[in-house]
Amino acid sequence: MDLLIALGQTPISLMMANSAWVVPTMQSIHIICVTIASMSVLIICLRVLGVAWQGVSLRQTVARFAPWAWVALILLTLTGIVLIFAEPPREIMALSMWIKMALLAVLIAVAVRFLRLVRNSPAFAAPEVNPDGALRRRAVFTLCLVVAIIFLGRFIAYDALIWGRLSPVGQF
Amino acid sequence: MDFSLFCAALQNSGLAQWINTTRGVYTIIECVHVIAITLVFGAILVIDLRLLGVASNNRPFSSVSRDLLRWCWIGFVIAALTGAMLFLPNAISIGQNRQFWIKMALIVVAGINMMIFELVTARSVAVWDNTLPTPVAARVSAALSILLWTAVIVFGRLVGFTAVVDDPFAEVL
Repeated sequence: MDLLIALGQTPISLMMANSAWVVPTMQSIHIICVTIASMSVLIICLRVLGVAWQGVSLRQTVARFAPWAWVALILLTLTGIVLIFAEPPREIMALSMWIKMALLAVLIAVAVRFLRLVRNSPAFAAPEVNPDGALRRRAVFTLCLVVAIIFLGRFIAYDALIWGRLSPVGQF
Repeated sequence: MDFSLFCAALQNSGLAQWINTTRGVYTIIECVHVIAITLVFGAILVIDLRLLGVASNNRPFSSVSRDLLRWCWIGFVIAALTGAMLFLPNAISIGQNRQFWIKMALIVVAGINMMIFELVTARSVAVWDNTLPTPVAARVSAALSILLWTAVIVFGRLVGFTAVVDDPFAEVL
């Protein structure tokens, strides 16, 4: 905790925390990137479920949306780092933050495995092919992960309220 | 009725009190609001990028629009409902918040832009559905739409940073 407080007192942290525009700007970019990443994942999952983007192969759908999701993820990481620097104790001590990061790691692992599968399987290059049950279940699981990550991102500001004594923030 | 009295009545309503005092409710509503914004802005962005000829160019505009507009409207209804629920417990302070009213005005302008596109430009969609570039009016509308909805998100976030002292949630934003 002392280390986090010291980090919060560094000139760069103080500059970010005291600036009237740094945190709101970073949060706005963060939300826009959440939107881009989530929508890209949603459309790919809807294509897997056969609900949207019909008439286009799964491989083409992935080629259209996956790069946007990755670029948004990079920007999310960068703006996330700035937001952590602006308020280190609030962010790093939050249980929500660590659960969010763990779920994000799971989401990335699921996405990488899915992308490999789509790239290596010739069947997914055909527009009329709809994925099987296992891949559909994975799409639903992926959407649940995205929703959970968005919830946890918002929970960071209310960590002690949400988790009670489980939250390290509430103990300080 | 005076607007500040109206806001005070909203803030003292049973629903506002319930949202304000029940643990976690306000936070859950905020999360659902964010997800709804994701649906609205995400869907609009994909449609507008198709109009601009930036992406999804291998599909007719009408197919892109048909796939996404329903999600956009579902998101908009949920965002409006949850937005109203977030307004209630802070009605007095948010009712005086300039950023909030700028956000509302931007949503109205974005709605007018969308209406003009649907009623005027999109009437000839059969002519340009599969061709690029799309008409100038469509591209102007799409660019304006992206700018307006980005501004809606920015001003929505600024509301949290310009809350009046009485706001019970000001310290956790």
